[in-house]
Formats: sequence, structure tokens, C-alpha cells
Amino acid sequence: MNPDDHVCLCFRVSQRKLVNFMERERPRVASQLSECLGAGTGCQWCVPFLRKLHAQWERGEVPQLTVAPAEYAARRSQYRSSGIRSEPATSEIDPSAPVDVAVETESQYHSGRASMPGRNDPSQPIRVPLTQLRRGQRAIVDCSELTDLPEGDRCLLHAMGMHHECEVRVCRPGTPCIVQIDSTRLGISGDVARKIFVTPIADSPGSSGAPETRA
Amino acid sequence: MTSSPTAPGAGGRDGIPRIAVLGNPNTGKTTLFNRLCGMRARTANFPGSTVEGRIGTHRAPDGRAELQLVDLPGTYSLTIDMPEARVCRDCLSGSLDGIEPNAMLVVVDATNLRRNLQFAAQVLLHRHPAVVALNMWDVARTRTSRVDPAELARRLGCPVVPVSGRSGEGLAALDVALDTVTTLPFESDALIARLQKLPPAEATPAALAAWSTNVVRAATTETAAIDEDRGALIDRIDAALTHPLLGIGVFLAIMAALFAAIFLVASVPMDLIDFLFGRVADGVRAALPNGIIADLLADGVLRGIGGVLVFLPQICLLFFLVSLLEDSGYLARAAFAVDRVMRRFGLSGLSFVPLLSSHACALPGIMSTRLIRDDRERLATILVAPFMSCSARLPVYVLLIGILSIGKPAWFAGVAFAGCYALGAAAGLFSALIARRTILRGPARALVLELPPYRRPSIRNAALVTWDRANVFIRNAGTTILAISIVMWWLSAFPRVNGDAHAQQAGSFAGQIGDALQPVFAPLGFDSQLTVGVMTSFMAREVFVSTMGVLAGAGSGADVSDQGVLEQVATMARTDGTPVFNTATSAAALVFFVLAMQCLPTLAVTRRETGSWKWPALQLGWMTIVAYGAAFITYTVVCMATGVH
Repeated sequence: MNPDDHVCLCFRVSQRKLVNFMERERPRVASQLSECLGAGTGCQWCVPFLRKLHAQWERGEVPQLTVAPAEYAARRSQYRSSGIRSEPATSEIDPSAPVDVAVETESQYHSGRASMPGRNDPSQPIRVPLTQLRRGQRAIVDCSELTDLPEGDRCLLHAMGMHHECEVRVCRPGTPCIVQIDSTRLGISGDVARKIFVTPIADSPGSSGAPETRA
Repeated sequence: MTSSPTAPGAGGRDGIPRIAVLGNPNTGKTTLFNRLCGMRARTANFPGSTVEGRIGTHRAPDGRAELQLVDLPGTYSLTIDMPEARVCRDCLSGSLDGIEPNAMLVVVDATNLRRNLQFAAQVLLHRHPAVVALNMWDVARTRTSRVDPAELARRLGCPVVPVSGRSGEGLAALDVALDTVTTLPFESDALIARLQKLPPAEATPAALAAWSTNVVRAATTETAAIDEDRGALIDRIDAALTHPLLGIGVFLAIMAALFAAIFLVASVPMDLIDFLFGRVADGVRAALPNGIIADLLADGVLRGIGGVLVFLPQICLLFFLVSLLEDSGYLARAAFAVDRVMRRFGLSGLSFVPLLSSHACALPGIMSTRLIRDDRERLATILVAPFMSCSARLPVYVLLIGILSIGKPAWFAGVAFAGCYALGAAAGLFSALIARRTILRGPARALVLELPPYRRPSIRNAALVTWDRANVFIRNAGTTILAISIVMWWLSAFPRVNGDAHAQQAGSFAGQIGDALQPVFAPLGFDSQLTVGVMTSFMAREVFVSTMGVLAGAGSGADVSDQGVLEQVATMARTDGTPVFNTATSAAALVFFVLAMQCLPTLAVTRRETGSWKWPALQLGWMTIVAYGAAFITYTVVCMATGVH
């Protein structure tokens, strides 16, 4: 992984930013990395990787993830749909991975990114779980991400008015999450709301465009 | 208490046009239905399903032809895999036995057109003439966006009538529209024209939503703007009511107030009914010559029915108040507030509504578990639903707590009632936990519910619900309980024994049965009369009170006939002259009735809902063991505490 590749894909926090943060703020525990642009507070996929970076830094080593970005992103999507962390396939454990392979996979990563518009593309707005929004904040629902939910829940949400790209307003953040679509209020328990990904609308009241970060 | 709704197909007379009423939940569909049919409606179970609906007749005031309206259950979509949607689909396609509609009335919430029109589009694809009722018109008119019914009608290809089920405005126009679609022949050209305007049946949710957005845009003069201030206030209320601590606190306070109201307010009509039945029984005795007929009427029929009808006010009040709460929009919030607590026991907020309705009667409670999408969680909910203190237990609680609280301070009865409900609920939740940890392992499922807007609840709706339930209760009292009362009277009056009342009681069939079974219940301190009471209440627990009433009547002399039935039972004596109900026995009997499975209809419904005899058998076995064990412990502890044995 190159310094500019994103470790936290939800909030697009690069490895370089994390390393600079650690040099500057000298976090005593890995969880303090969440203060660096909310890293690790989205889908939680990168949490073990953040721990690894922090451990490396604490040992005085140069913090560096060896996993190839494409594989990293693929395993994250798998984790997002199944909820299960897959075992690392190749390079993560091997610190002496050949550089040319990393470069090649990085280009694959970029081409893959181009074929998935909206996901991790810097020109696209960020996507966060519904539970991360603030009260009164508005967002656009991305139903293509509802694949994590059981069929019954997904159909019910569609029928209740939560269709692709509909606008929601958060009435109560957290769990249960209460959102308003048109004039309907839906109560959604936390475990479902966490799997609904939305794009915050930048100019909505109470919003600075960025999601609320947990300390 | 058994509810015995009739099959809807039976009542439909030929020649009357039948109209299926469909709509999303929370569109005021039932309010509109009640406005149209009023008391000329009855609850019906649709064939082959446990979903309840209502069937009523409507006659327009200007003497037009009578119409039959079928209030189908509210559903969010016709294509979704839920029982409500299945009933609606079957009805529209004509495969629901005996209720093929001639026309459809689609109820649409004018304040929430975008979602409602998606459902309307699915319904309008069916080949029946249709009218769309634009409900809540009174509220929609005050909004910043104006809906144009004429434009909407053009877009949907069927008449659109703005109405308000609450205020009753627009009903005359609705009558005209319904009359037109049911009397004029439905041209296939009109259907084809309608189908061309609608999105096809195979449209994706997104395509359907896009179509609906377009229609709303065309039919409204201004874009919908949400009132931010009001929204913020409701946000705060919602947040408070679903708060983990505050929400639970509010829920407990509301439940406490509900039960306090039931017991305080209902006591007046209860005393009146008790007094009236006592007077009528005396009158019968005075009017008829002494003999078997007078005994049968006064002791068997009047005492038996009176003992159960006494509880009608409480049951009516419970249904009335719960209906008001539901209508106000609070119950959906309460489900989220208790979701966290239920989760600890392996259940979810979805199990909350079935368990809450089980406090009225386990039958509708068990039937409503179909909303729970997780099979294991649903089975666990069904298993423990009968632990909730249903209204049939109320008579027994009133009787036994009345006896227990003689000579105690006034607050004692209230605490005892609350304790009974808490004991039942706790036993149910812990049983659910045990089941979810052993035979029904699995994670609790997530909760997704619509939170309806807060509204002033409709007294009219609540009164109609109460009327419906009271009818079922009275019908039950007039049939099953009457029959059991007469049998009990016969068992306690025959064979005739010479001597005083006590000798008669000991020598009767009832006395003999009680003596034979008494050893089983002896560890709980029950004597033979109480044993008979418990045995007869196996089929339906409220029979206990009428049985004890009949036994007390048979056992007492004429000198106490001016007492009320309840008072007579309280002073019943054992064969050795000591009271039947001493403190320890009453407490043990109370605990036994809180926990025991004494309801044949519940076992039958559990069998039907689970598809196997395994679950009702488990339910019966487990509840009986728990009830007997807990009653035994109570008896022993109270005996030790009071020093009596």
C-alpha cells in the first residue's frame, strides 16, 4: 500500500494522514486514531489495520501496510456483505512483497474503482452508515448497498418508501434510528440502520458535509 | 375468552355489490370504513389465514342500493411476502373463498401521496372498477402543497374523491362515485386506458417510485415542504419516547395508569351488574315455587353468567384504552423503547405487540406473531404469550385479590394486581430466554416499523372496537360459559342428599370428583371445592369464578341470598367449617392462576400456528410445572410467615 492509498475507505483517510497524525498527536492507544478524520468509525473494516499501524509506530518502525489496495478493497466489500473477516490472502503478512506487484495491483485498484462509480471515488461524495448522521441532517439513500440486509427487511424498506436515491431526514440518530421520508417516519433498529449507506446532503441544517465522528 | 369470528363468505347476500377496501397502514382506512359502516360491521377471519378484517354494509343516506364493504388488512405492498399482502392479493384475484369483489376502493393518504400512490398503482393493475379515496383531505388542505384531485384522476385513470374519514367531509361525493362504479358496466376500454397509464406489474421498486414522483409532481401545485419547527418538536418527542431509560419510564407509567383506570373506573358498573344479577336471582326464587327449576335458574344460570358478565366493564375499558393508545401513535414508539429490554430475552420489539395484545387475550396475540419475520423468535413468542395475564384471568384476580385484601390497607389490592401482571410477564420473558438459549437458538431480529403521526385518538373508532370485542365476549358468556355453568350446577345439585347444604355439597358429584382429585392439589392447600373450581377452569379459566359462584350458591343456605355473588364465594366454608380461602390458599391459588395454562382455544391456536402438537404440548407441560411449583412455594412460604398450617 502506498502512503496515499486509503486505509479507511469509508472516510477516505490515507496511510500518510494516519502516520502524520501519529507523529503529531502521539496517540497512546490505537482507538485514538478515530480522531484522525473519523478513521475506523464507519464500517469498522480497517480497525485491525489501524491497530497494526499503531503497533508498528509504537515499536518505532515505519508504519506501513503491505496489503495490496485492490485486495484490501475486495476483502472489505466481502466483509461488508457477509459481516465476516476473511483471512488475508497474500501480502499482508509478508513485509517483503515485491514492489512491482504492488504497483500492478494498484493500477488494477484504480481501474476497478473507475468501474464502480460512487464507491471510493474521490470525485464522488462520501457514503456513511445511516447511524452516523446528526439529528436534522438530510441524506440520499443508496439502496444498491442494501444487499447486506435479509430479503424480507429489504422488501419491507422498499415498500415503506425507502427506495434508491430517496431523501431522508434524520429525526433521531443512533439506535433506534428514526428517519423521515416525505411525511412518513420510519423507526429502524440499529443493526439494520448500520447497513443502510447514505450520502449526506452538504447544505442541510446541522450538517457540515462531514459525518459526526466518535471520539 | 374465545373469539369466534364468522367466515366472511357466509354473510354476503347475492346481488349486493361487494367492494374491497385497500390501503397502506396508517392511512385512516379503518376510520373511513367505520364512518361508512358504523355498527353494521363485524370482525371476520379470512379463510385460510389468521389475518383479521372486517365486513360491513353501507347504505347511502339518499336511499341508493346497499353496498357490502370488505376492509382488507393494511399493507405496504401487494408483492411483499407477508400475510396481509397475501390476503389482499388473493382477494383481488378472486381466490379468497366467497369474497370476490365487484369493485375496489383504494384509500390513499393525501398527506403522503408519493408512497401511497405506489401501492395504489399495484392495486389498480387488477381488473376491477375502482375509486380512489383521497383521505385526510382536511389535513392535506392546510399544507403548503395543493393536490389537484382532477389531475390525479386523469393520471390514475379512475375517479379520485377527496374525503376525510375523521370529519366526514366528501362522503356524499364518495357515495356517488361508488354508486357509479358498481352500477354502470365496466368497459374493457376503460380498463385498458387505465392500465396504459400505470407502471407495469414487473416494475422495480425504483421505477415505481419514479412514476409516483412524476404523478405527484404533476398533480400538486407546489413541492411538499415539511414544517421544520413542528418536525423538530416531534423529533424531540420521538427521541424521548424511544430513549432507553426515559422511554421505558414513560411506558411503565402509562401502563400503570392504564391498569389503575381499568380497576378504578370499572368498579362502579361491576358492582351494579353484580347487584342486578343478585336481585334478579332473588326475584326468580320468590316468583317460582321451590324446586329444581328455581334452583337451576337462580343458582345455575344466573349465578354462572352473572359471575362472568361482571367483568364485561373491565374488558371493554381495556380494549377501549388500548385502542386509544394505538390510535394516538404511541404504541409504535413504545415498541422501540422496549426493544432493548426484549433483546435481552432473545425477543425483539416485534414480539412486544403480540405480547401486549396477549394481555387482552392470548388468541389475537398468538395470531399477530405472524408479523415476526424470524421463525425461532416467533415460536418463542407463541410459547410464552399465554403467560401474559389475559382478560380472562381478570375475574379470578379480582375474586382472589378481593379475598386477600380484606382487612388490608387500600393500596394492597393495587400492588397485588400489578404484582400478578409483573409475575406473568416475568415468567414469560424468562421462559423465552430459556427457550432461546436451548431449543430455539438464534440472534434476535432487527425492528423496522412505521411511526405514525401523533393524532388525537378517535373515540368513535375505539368505541367500535370495544363494541366488537364486547359482542364476542357476551356471545361466549351466553354459550360456552352458560353450558359449563349448567353442568356445574347439575354436578353440585345431584344426587340429592338429605341434610343441610354442606352435606349436599359433599355428597354431590362435584364433591365426589373434588375428593378424588384433591390429593393432587393438597400440597397447595386446595380443598375439594377449590379443586373442582380448578379442574373446570382447565378449558377456560374465567369459568373458575362462575364455578365457585355456583358451588357457593349450592353450599350456602337461603339466609345469605342477599349477598353479592363475589361476597358469597369469599365466605365459602370447607366441610370442617374453616374458610375455603384462607390467606395461604388464596395466595397459592392466585399464583397458580397467573402461571397456569388453562385455555383450550389457546392450545388449538398454537397447534394451528406452529403446525405441530409438539409446541402446545410443551406449552401446557411447562406452564403447568411452573404454576404448580410456584404455587407450592407460595403456599409453603405464606404458611410459614403466618404461622398457620
